Amino acid sequence: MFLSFLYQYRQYLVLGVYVLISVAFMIAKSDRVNVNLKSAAISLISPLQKVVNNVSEASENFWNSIEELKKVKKELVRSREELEKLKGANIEIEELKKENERLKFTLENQKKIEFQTAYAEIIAKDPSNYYSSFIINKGKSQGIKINMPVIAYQGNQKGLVGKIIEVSAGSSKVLPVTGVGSFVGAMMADLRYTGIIKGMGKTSDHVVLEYINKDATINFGDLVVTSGQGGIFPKGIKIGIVLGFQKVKYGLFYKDIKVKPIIDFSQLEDVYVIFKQSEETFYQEGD
Amino acid sequence: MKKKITIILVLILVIVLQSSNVIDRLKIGNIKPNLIMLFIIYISLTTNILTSETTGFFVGFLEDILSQSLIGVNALTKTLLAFFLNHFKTRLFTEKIISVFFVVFLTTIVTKLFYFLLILLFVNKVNFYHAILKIIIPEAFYNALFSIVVFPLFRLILERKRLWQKP
Repeated sequence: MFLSFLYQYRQYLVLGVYVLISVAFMIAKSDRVNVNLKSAAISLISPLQKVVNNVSEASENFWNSIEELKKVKKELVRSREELEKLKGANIEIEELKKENERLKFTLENQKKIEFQTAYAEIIAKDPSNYYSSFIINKGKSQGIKINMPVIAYQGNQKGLVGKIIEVSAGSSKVLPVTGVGSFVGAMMADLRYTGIIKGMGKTSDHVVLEYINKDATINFGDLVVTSGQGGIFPKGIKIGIVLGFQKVKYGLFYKDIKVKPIIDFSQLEDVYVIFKQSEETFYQEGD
Repeated sequence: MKKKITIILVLILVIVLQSSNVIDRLKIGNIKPNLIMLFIIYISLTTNILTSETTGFFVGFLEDILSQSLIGVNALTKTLLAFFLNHFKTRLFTEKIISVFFVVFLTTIVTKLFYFLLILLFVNKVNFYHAILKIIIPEAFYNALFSIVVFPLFRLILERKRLWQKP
């Protein structure tokens, strides 16, 4: 009787069990069990993600190479004509110059980093359209800890990317400065007014610098850097440039400023995790 | 049946992993299609209620692990999506492209509204005006368009039937 009742309503029972499990996890959101489970699961999944990433890159490279081949063919015809005009040598010299400059730039970037860092590649991005975290291929076994700052080089500039929020054995999750829930102590590089940079999520092209003195004279294009307050991010790392102002409700003493990040996150492929700075007490071991 | 379950499991793994890698390259503006949701919608419309609920729960759970989101939010959202969609599937006409387009469009909107409601209740403040205009509606539209391409593909893999072939 009881069994037939269970069998008859099994779809609702299963639904109930799944709903209960989900809600239990959500309620225990700050519980360490939650983090443990996540990092354990990421440890299992990240090797697969690396494989998928490699396969997709390989297939993309294949298609790109076909496109490249077409381009190269055109380029070749054009180059031959040009080569005849210029009697050969000049073009090759130019190409070598460019290659040389690019290699020099990479080498200089490495030298410019004044912190002890670990190079890491992005292996996966958040599947949702709301959150913007991403996973890198370095984890606890490479010495990565929660709250470690992450930076990157783009063009000629070093900029703040974000911080580590989860660590598993061979990979870590990074919360970018643009992400929902990201808060970074910041200041105007020239005027030294301090505030907090708040991430606005994936769909916004800017972050917001909050709590800036209402009387501060700020111009478009002014540079915003980390203030070092809060102890997580080293002082003076570029965050972005002033894009404009934002209306603040009841803003008697402060104004909010729109800031365009220095780093173009859509182009980001590799990052540097900062290991050491003056105070390293804030870094936590991942679970 | 065993073969179909194996195919579903393999598909789940591929889809979840692709969603954090390859799908990112299909972004228009800042929006990418939600392949995970499309798969659950397809499974809910074509299989029984237990398979739908279980697929919804486990796929949502995997998504939670890969995402910055609170664990359980996607699991709950996707389980309920699978349950209700499967429950009402007989009333939905999903053999025509246009019907599929609207089912996916509306399902995405309702599911995402519920998702943001959970975010609001358990995680942080949500600007619903921004979420609806910048995330929910564009994603619903993109999902609906993308479903026209991927549903026949799911059908081909799971049921060995050709594109938009009538039963």
